[in-house]
Amino acid sequence: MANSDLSQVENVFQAALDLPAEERAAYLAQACAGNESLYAEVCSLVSAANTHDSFIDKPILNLGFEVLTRSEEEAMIGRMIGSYKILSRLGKGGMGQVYLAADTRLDRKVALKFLSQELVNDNWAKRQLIKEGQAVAQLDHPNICSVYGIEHEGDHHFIVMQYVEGETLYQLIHRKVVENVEILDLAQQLVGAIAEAHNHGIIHRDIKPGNVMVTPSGQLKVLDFGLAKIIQRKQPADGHGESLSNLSQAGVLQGTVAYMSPEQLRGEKLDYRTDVFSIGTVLYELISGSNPHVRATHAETISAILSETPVLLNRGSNRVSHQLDITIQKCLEKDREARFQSASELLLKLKGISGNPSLHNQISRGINVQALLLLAVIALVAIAVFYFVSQSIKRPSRMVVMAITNQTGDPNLEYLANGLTDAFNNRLTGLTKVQLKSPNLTFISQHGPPDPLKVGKDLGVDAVLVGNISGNQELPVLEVDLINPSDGTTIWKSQYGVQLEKVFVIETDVAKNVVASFQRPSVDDENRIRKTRDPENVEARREYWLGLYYLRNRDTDKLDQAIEHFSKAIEIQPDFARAHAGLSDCYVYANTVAYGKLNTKDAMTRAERSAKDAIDLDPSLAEAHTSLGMVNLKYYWNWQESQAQFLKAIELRPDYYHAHYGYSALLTVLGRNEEAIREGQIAKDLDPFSPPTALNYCRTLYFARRFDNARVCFDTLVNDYPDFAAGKYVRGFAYLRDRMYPQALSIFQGMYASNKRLFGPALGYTYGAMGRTKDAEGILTELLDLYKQNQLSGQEVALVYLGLGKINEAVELLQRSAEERYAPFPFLATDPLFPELQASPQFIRLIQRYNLPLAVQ
Amino acid sequence: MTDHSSQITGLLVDWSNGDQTALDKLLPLVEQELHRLAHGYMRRENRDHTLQTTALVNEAYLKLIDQNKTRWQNRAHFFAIAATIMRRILLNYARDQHRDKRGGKAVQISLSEVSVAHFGVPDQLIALDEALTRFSLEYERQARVVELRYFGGLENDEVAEVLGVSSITVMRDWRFAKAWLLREMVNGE
Repeated sequence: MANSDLSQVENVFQAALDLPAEERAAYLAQACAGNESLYAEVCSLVSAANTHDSFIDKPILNLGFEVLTRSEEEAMIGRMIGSYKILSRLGKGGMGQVYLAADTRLDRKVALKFLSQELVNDNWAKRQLIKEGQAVAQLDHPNICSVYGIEHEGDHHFIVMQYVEGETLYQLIHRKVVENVEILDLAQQLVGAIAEAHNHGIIHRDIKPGNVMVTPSGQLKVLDFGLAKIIQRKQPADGHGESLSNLSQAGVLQGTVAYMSPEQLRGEKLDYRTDVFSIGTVLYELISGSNPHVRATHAETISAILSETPVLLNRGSNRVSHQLDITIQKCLEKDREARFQSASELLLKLKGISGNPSLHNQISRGINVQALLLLAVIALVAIAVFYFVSQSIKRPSRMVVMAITNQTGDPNLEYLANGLTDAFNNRLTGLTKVQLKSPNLTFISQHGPPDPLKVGKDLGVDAVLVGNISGNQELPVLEVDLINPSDGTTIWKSQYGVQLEKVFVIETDVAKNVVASFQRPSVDDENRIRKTRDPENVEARREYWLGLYYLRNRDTDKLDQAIEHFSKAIEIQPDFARAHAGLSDCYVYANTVAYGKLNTKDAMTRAERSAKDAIDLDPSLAEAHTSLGMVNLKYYWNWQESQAQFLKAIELRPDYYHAHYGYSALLTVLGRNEEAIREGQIAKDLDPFSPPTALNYCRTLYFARRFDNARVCFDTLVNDYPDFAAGKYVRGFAYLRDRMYPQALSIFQGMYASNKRLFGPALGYTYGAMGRTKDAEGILTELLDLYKQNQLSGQEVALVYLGLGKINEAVELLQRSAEERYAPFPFLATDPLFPELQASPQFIRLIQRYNLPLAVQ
Repeated sequence: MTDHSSQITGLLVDWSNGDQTALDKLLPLVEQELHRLAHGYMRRENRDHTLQTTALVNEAYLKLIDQNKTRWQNRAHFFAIAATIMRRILLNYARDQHRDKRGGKAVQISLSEVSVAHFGVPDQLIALDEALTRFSLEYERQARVVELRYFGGLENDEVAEVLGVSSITVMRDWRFAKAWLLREMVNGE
């Protein structure tokens, strides 16, 4: 149709629809007179308009949102891209995601590296990629990860590579201390691979532990050849090579800098010797566990690479052969002329070295006098250190980290003190030679500021770590002391200027020194301290600490703030596992009567999701598993899953009191009372100053029907923490069980006066049980009102019915509150107070529906 | 504001001044940001998705655009971009679903299927997209109206602002477009 025809169609259509329906036919006949096609066209359109279909009236935003929020990963896994079936995600590279896929044609597993949209759009980058890909495809070496090809399928461009199963050097280094024999072997494999590439004219440019894999059988494979050039240089310069500002624009500076050579950082033209430098850095890290140039900030790291000479590997110990030490030093020469001039030269040198640091070997290789003297000096120092250490604590030790106090007078720094305490606890947990007691010290301050010596003696530990922050917001100063509680002497102390970027360094230093103070540290412990990954992002950590602070000191408003801060931390750094765990904890509390604003379902679903996110990111996070255990215990009532999660948490971190606490509650629900008591006891040992933990223990005794023990336990609890309402409340019920009605009445009447909604049910029950029917019914009426307004759970109302002996009415209400997953419900199944309820067939049916146990009569 | 904001603002201004190539550059940048923000949203309030998506695009706008340099009209243009992106994302999604399940057969619709008010089904989405593309060859502005309303969730007056026409024109365009598309989807292949 011609354009004029098109607009005619539209005009006639609009005119027709502007007319009332009965006039349309006539109008159309007249307007289209003589033009058959126009008439047909417009008529069909008008009739379509008449169907009054709402078919696209509602925007499709719902689906749009769903699709947007699907992670890239969800979108990919299980799909077929060309002839490859995507199986799982292997990781994230500088250019895009890497997935494991099955090549359906050749029936083998491959790794697909997908190129980000940015790269694909950049024609220059794409051409370069193909060129490099071709060059790398020529390489055929057992230590080089083969590139099979570059393909594209629709919008997706990807590199097909050999799939290497194993771990990266990064993971290896952080997992264990590598033996000398292994070091040499890995070094030779690595350098061999690079030498092969150099022989083919390829410079790798991006050698780092993350780019080197080791298979379970010990074979090393280098990945990602030559491709660094392409991400690093987005705009083709005039052959001047990459400059630092280009690098930062391409966003490459995050993390990769640490292995770059000085000339790379200066943007000079590169040659093979740049790879030699990077190899040196990797080998240094392989041996010592840390990169020689990394400092607290990127700027300092760059400066170190450019101008600071790395410390000799053998300083202070005899880690490797001297030959190896100086070989690596030579790789790390700032001036490339001074390095090995090629990977082949380096390889030759490595083959001539043996791994052992024995003096005999060294002398036989003609070590010079200076080095000998150096050795002698080192030996002297080593002896002195050992002597000093053995004067202090000898046997396997227990310690506690006290809450770091804020003595700056600035309340805005509270969160810092709290966060540092958490950080230290986190670094010191799970060691073999040092056992950390991490009590919840929130409640202890109710008795006044704790005395470290007293706490240390009460807990029976060998050392107490005390810290305080002074100074001001610009530069807070942290002072830490490790104290021996038996005599108050200082074992070790230190001071640090606290800069948020430096926190990780401070933590590590403190942890190392603390561990060293006890005795010769085990290699396992050294690895353990090294193993904790720094979240890397300073801002995210700060938000996380603020979240922790508000969570610890929670009330309704603070909990909201905690949620905000954790969410912020996650926004800044989405893979911050502990922030997700913190968020989950917030939500678990968010539905509690005392704190929350959300309804149970909302809060618990979010709690679950956050906990699962945390576990996805870091499966070793005991806190996250505990959260998940709690959510399943309190809401989903999936006992099996709850148990699995608690046990996992305990396995990961046996000194985490909260996991034992939760597990104890679960065991109570399941009627496994002896086990519940044991777990409750452990929780109490680990967390001796906490009323909730103590209450939990008393409850386990009560449920186990050890009523005398329980009574004593409750008495002690209420005595120690007279302001702890929950303690009095549960104790009241214990009195009821013992038919000590006057005592129960006095408790509940007092509590009722302060809050009718919370404590009415218990009082109502008591009246009922005492035969004061009128009073009971009076309360019942009040509560029924609240129940109808959705301000009270049916179970609470049911409680009064139970007191009046009206089992059937009670069960009816209980059915509903069980459906809503009212958290206290499961405890009714075995609570010694309610034998008549537990004998009711309807109730029995009800609890069986939720896999709850029958009460022991 | 992010690092990209001056770049994005510049592109947005260019595009609203008529430079079509600016749009090509804008799309991937904004899409990236939407994805990133969307993930953040799942963690927060969880009510009506429609509100969420609008809020999401709003937030992207605030983050990406330098407020001082744009006129208020550019906000509508930004939402228009979001609409295009949303359409693209949804179509990719629908095609993936379709390809995976059916192995690539052509899509055919019957009237009863089309009457479903809420288009969640991938096949229908693909059919709609194809019909819309055909429609835009003949009636470009009207097709644009559909895209902005259906994929972008813009209201009539916002659509009017983006296209530079009156609200009444938008409403008339809309009814014409609906009729055309409905007819096309029922009859055509």
